Amino acid sequence: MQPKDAASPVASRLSQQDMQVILDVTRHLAAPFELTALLSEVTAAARRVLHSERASVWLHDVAAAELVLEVASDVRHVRIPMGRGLVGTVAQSGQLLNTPDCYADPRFDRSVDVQTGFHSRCSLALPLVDHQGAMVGVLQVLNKRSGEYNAADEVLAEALAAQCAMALQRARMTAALIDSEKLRQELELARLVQHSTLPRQVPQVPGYDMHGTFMPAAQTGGDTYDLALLPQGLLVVLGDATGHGIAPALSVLQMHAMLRTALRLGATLEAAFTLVNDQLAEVLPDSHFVTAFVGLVDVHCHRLRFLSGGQGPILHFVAAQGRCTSHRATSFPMGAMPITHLRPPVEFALAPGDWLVVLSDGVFEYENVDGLVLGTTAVEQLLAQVHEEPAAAVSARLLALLQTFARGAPQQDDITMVLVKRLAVVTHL
Amino acid sequence: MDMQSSALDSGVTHIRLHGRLDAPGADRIGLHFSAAAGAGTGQVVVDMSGVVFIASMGIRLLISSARNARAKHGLMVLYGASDLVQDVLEQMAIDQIMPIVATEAQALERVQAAA
Repeated sequence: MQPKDAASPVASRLSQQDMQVILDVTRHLAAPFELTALLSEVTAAARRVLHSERASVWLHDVAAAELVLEVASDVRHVRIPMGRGLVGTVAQSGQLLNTPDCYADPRFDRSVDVQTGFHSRCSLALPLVDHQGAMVGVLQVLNKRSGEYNAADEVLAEALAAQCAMALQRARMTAALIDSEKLRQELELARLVQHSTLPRQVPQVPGYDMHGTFMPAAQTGGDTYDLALLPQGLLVVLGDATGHGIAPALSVLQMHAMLRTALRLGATLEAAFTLVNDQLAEVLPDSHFVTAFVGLVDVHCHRLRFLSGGQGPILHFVAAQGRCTSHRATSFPMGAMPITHLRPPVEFALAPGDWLVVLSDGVFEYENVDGLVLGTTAVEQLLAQVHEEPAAAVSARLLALLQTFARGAPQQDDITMVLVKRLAVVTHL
Repeated sequence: MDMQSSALDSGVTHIRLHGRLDAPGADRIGLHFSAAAGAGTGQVVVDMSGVVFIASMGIRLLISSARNARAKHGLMVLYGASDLVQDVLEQMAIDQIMPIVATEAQALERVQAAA
């Protein structure tokens, strides 16, 4: 057995013929970007170049501290711990191991032979080391067709192992890129779905000023809002589906579409809310639901009626008192379970100068660098200070409040805000 | 965030939570919590007294397990929540899905009454 430093330079010790063989292998290894195809090329090249009956690649599973046999013609996914057998010894030592008589070596593990029925006579095993020096696997060839592996074989094998390690790293990087591209595409699709639910323009209602804000986080969730003038009144919606990616975006799209349809077909607030909840409870998976505020403002009588599935607190800024009244959700998050007893809607008058403020949990739960969350008090205090400003300006001030509070902490969740203000002095827009 | 679970002699699953039940906390205990809550007869009491903060992803975890308990004709009951945590749960009307009571004895009484 002749341990060698696997990182030793090999180019100067290769003959021109050997170099040609390695370049040929390199050319073959340059093509496949898919791991299984690549490993098949590696083992075929190793058998060819080193005149061996068998070649295998064992990949290092760092988390499990094991080696996994990925490619061999008759057995796959055999696992051995680091340090066990000839291959495990190479992985642990990081050094080439040339074993002329396997069964005479106490480190030899016969279990793979038992599983495959193959009889290992002699072995040459080398670590596969990436360009950062990390051990990514072990290349093993078995049973040279004529005799034992010699020093020239070791040089060739080292050159081959170097090429294999590079190709392996490239295949893994490619796989990671494909995964990240899939994720990027899914997030982009989720973003498009979310934006498709937002109103193109805010309705112009005499005596009212309103504004909606939607700022998706990088890992998008499933927020939406709506402001629309319907026969039943001014519809105000804020929805927030749990989770990230396309699934919550689709959940909130379903909620929004069903709600709009039911209300446009003349359903009452109570009927529409119950219908949508029960439909969502049927179709959403167990861990998914949508918190949703659904309100209707009678813009002639200036009264708001709302139902809220898990969306709270709902803030009513009372101009005459200069402070907010906070309302809880009327029922659990939509889709969590069917509604058997719907609690009645909350109803209150919007006096001149009053505001309805509905904010997603991405606002109240925004966490700053100290791990503190914004909460409701800071929002209520700000509203008391700036309530005379237009809705768009107050939205901007809320965002500025978040930015100041966060002190650089990144946005983790969608931020959605719907503000409806009854103007203090009625103006016809 | 961490948790301990045990099966009481009555067959009720007892889970004790400790820490911040926010998105990272829910991630950390999610599988363990769901498995513990889903393992028995669907009668589950959860000691919330060690939960210092709860956010929407933590509530999602509770709702999901409460739904599973109901599917087994059981009930999940929360007890001992701080005023802060109880307020968040009530803001979202979570008490309409799973009862929220003050003490372990009250929680056990509720699950056994529902059995």
